[in-house]
Amino acid sequence: MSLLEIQKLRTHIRTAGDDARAVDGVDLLLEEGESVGLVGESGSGKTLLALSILGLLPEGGGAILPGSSIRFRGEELVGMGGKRLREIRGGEVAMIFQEPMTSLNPVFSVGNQILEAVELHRPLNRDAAKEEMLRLLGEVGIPDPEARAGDYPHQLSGGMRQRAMIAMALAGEPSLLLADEPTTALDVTVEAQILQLLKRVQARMGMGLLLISHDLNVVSRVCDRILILYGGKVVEAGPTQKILDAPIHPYTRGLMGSRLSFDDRRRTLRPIPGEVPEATDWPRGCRFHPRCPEVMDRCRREEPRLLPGTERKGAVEVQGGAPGGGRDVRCWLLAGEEGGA
Amino acid sequence: MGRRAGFLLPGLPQLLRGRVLGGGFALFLWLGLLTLAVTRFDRVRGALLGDLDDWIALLTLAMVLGGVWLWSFRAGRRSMVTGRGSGEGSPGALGQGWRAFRRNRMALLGLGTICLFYLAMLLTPFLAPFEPEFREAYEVGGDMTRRLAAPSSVHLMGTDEFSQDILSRILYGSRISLTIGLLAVGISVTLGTFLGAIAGYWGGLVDTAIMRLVDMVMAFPRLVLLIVIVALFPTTIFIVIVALAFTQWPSTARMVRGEILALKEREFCEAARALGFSRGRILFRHLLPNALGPLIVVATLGIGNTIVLEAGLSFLGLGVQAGTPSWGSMVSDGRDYLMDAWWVATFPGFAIVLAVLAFNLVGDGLRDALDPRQSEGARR
Amino acid sequence: MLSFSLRRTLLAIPLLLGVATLVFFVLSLAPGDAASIYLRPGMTPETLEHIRRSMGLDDPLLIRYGRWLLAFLQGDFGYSHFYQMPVRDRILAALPNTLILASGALFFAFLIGILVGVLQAVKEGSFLDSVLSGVTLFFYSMPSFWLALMLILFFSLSAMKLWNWPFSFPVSGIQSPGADLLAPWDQFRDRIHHLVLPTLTLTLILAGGVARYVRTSMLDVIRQDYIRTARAKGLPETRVIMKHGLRNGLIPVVTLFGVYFPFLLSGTVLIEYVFAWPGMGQLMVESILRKDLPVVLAGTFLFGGMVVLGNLLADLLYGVVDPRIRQSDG
Ligand SMILES: Nc1ncnc2c1ncn2[C@@H]1O[C@H](COP(=O)(O)OP(=O)(O)OP(=O)(O)O)[C@@H](O)[C@H]1O
Ligand SMILES: [Mg+2]
Repeated sequence: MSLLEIQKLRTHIRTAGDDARAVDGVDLLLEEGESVGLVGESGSGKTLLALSILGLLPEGGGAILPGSSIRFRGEELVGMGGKRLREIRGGEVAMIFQEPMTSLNPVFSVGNQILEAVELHRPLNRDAAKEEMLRLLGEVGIPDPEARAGDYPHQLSGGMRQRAMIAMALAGEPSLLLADEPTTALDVTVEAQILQLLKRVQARMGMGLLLISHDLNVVSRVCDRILILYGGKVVEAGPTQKILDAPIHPYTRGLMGSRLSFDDRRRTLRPIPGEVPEATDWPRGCRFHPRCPEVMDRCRREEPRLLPGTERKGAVEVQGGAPGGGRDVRCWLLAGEEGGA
Repeated sequence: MGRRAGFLLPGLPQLLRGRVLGGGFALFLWLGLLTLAVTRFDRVRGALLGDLDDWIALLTLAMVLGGVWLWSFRAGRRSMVTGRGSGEGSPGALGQGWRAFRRNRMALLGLGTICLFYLAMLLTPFLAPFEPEFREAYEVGGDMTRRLAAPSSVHLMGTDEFSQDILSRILYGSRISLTIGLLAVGISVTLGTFLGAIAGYWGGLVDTAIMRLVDMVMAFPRLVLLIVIVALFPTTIFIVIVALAFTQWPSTARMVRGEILALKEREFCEAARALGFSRGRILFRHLLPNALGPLIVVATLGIGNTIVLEAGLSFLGLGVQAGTPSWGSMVSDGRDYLMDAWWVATFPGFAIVLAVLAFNLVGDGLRDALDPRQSEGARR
Repeated sequence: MLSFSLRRTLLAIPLLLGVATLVFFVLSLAPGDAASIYLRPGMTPETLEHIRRSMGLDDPLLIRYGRWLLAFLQGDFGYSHFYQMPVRDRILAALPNTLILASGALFFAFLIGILVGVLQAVKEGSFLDSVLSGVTLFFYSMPSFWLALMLILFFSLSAMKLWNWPFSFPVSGIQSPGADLLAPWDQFRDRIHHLVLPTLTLTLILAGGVARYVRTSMLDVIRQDYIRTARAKGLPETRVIMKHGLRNGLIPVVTLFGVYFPFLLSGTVLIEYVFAWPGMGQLMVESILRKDLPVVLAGTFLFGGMVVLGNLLADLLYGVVDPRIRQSDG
């Protein structure tokens, strides 16, 4: 039994016109203690996927379609409500959000907000809970916890707020942490510190981690496996090293081209041309085809399936590895899949 | 087809094309006025020899009948040519606002109600079944007098202690309430905008002086201040309007000053200054138009507020005097007969509530459409 | 923040004196004066002149102003010739009545308004929201005096006469005639009975505005990220709204409280008038119409003072409810 098993997740948003198909059939597997990265540009559906897991979709907008399944240790989360869901939220599954600036309540001190989570999910008396709250603040690297606990969010820097958010998420001793772009709003040095912190607590507590980012670089520093998301669908998935060494999908290759890492600073930055289309009108065929440098006729007509594979059709850069090797790609360039659908 | 329909019945082409609201309103208006003109033909013909009020009513009748017909006919033809409805105006801020406003059903309802109120006011001589001062005791079905008569088919809203028809008095009374509201807000918004803009733009001593004055006026409950002013002078309609305007302008001035201060920091203002435009030109051509949205909202909500205040003054017996019926004083008249004749106080009050409600609905709609910062939450 | 508020408050004192001065001159210039209340049929002009002289009314305007100002600054509000008693006593007699009426109404208005506004925001776009929006706008648009009459019609006169309701509420004054002779408990009940309709009127009028304000403010808050954080924590929905939402949603409502606060002393003229409630609003109107200058001036100063106090209170409350302001300086 996996820690988290998502099958055919479709999360759509009702709008005035057509529904926005923001998450459109995603499968994801996350084992105990494993860290998985979810990468994609802005608008590819990352946040909505994470929100779907905890049932936190925007009111009156998002809905998980029937046929979707999200199982946490075998327990179905789709359609769950009431007390059990609240136990899981912040207890077994915790979440960190994209915006540390606005995700903390401005009128309560950070200590108060963390304490609230501790008291909710741990059978501790008031004093013990307070002590635990201070310990958590120390654990996430906030200096002088006693003093900082009384601070209000506006008195903390962005990095400190994100640390406080992490402390709040750890309060329930979760076995799965969903981190939605925890470092996007931070500068580079702070980003490195926060990533290190995440990696440390994950290893120490043996948590599963779903790290979301638009930056392949960030994810590759922390995660064992990576899923590349485009247009609400997984376009490539596999172990981190393999994806970095031999990206198959043109979109993944584009992401690698546009990443700015410390190692190859001299390489010029080549962003992918164009933008992610609106989720209300994805193009026909492969959703990436209007921006794809290697687009073929077939891509415009038919949508490729997500299939195991290690080689690109007619590719020069064939890589070794076991067949399959945990690699899945959604592209007509994939070798050995002439028939397609 | 659509063209012919518009020729025959205004509003029909719009209705046929599924624009129920606009078409229905036009059709309703046109048929209603036509019925009025036919059923009260004697009165309408008599108006030719009547006084100024009669002539205004006559002119209104003719213009609205013709105007609705022309609008419907032209709009019908235009949409035949372009294949789309009217309203393809310039995409300016106000144009966009209007488009957002049109989608708000409640606000449109308010706007329609306001139109009907003012139309009824102008057409009062034709609409009112009786003269406002008609008190002659007369015989209807054996009754010798119609004093405090309950609502009936003759007196739709009953009569008051002097046998005067309440409906007619409400219609005649609308002149006071509706005109005063409009004029007082017009004056106060003009004055408030002018002083607020000067204070905000020039700053320094001018700003301090104007804002102290604003503070002084606002340090009073508005009704008490009104009573002080009204107590000083014989209460003519002119004095009441001035008093209402004088107690209203400070809030407008404060708002405009705030807007100007905020806009002054923005780039387009810097740019205009760099281009060497004069201060007055920057202020009136560049800054004020940007404050127009909030201003319209404040003015609309202010009219409703002013109508209530004027009614309050009249209720206290301090409003416009000299026998002119006004809604507030009519409610006051009914106060003593509440137990025996509930209708005397109730119906004029309904008129006030309805008019104020309409202005507030439109004001809310305008705020949502024009002033997104203050509107209720961001529309997704 | 605090020092700024205090400075603004101190600056308001000369402002209020200025307002009172303005009222002094404006009312003095108006035709007729306080001596006319002694006017009797058949009184000779000489007698009237004598009365005016004894009241000091025929001194030059500036002398009268100086005299008033001097006494005023020493805390002496003067003597009301109409009521035949010192102004201070007259005002102190009216104040408690207004205070009782307005404090009850303010309390209930904010209680009901906040509850309704929060409920609407939580159920945004629902049928309930639309209905409540209509109801609150209806009361918000209503002239208070008319609402008062309608409530009298329904809960007093009709209730007794037509529908045989077992209860009805008195419609004028603060107590029944002869209530002084009743036992303390019955006297208390009698007073409460007299309070019901005026308080209800004022409450309904104010609550409409409060609800509209709270709804707007809560709608804004509910969309904030920290509400999602609170949900992600596993908090029950009621606690998410009532703790994390309401604490933020009420911050702008403080401004509204500052605006309504002066009602505590100034009362509402029209409601006091309809219910013959012997409070400050009534007193002011009567004094203005009778040109009872000392009362008007003292009342003016008091009302203005309440407005300033309301602003100060709102500033202070802002500091209490919003830590971002509390710690901005000092
Ligand atoms: N409340 C909403 N109403 C309508 N569309 C929405 C809403 N929220 C998200 N979407 C749409 O759903 C799609 C996916 O959004 P999502 O927030 O999951 O993207 P993301 O990958 O997290 O992007 P980012 O990197 O900007 O956070 C986008 O196309 C977005 O426009
Ligand atoms: Mg996101």
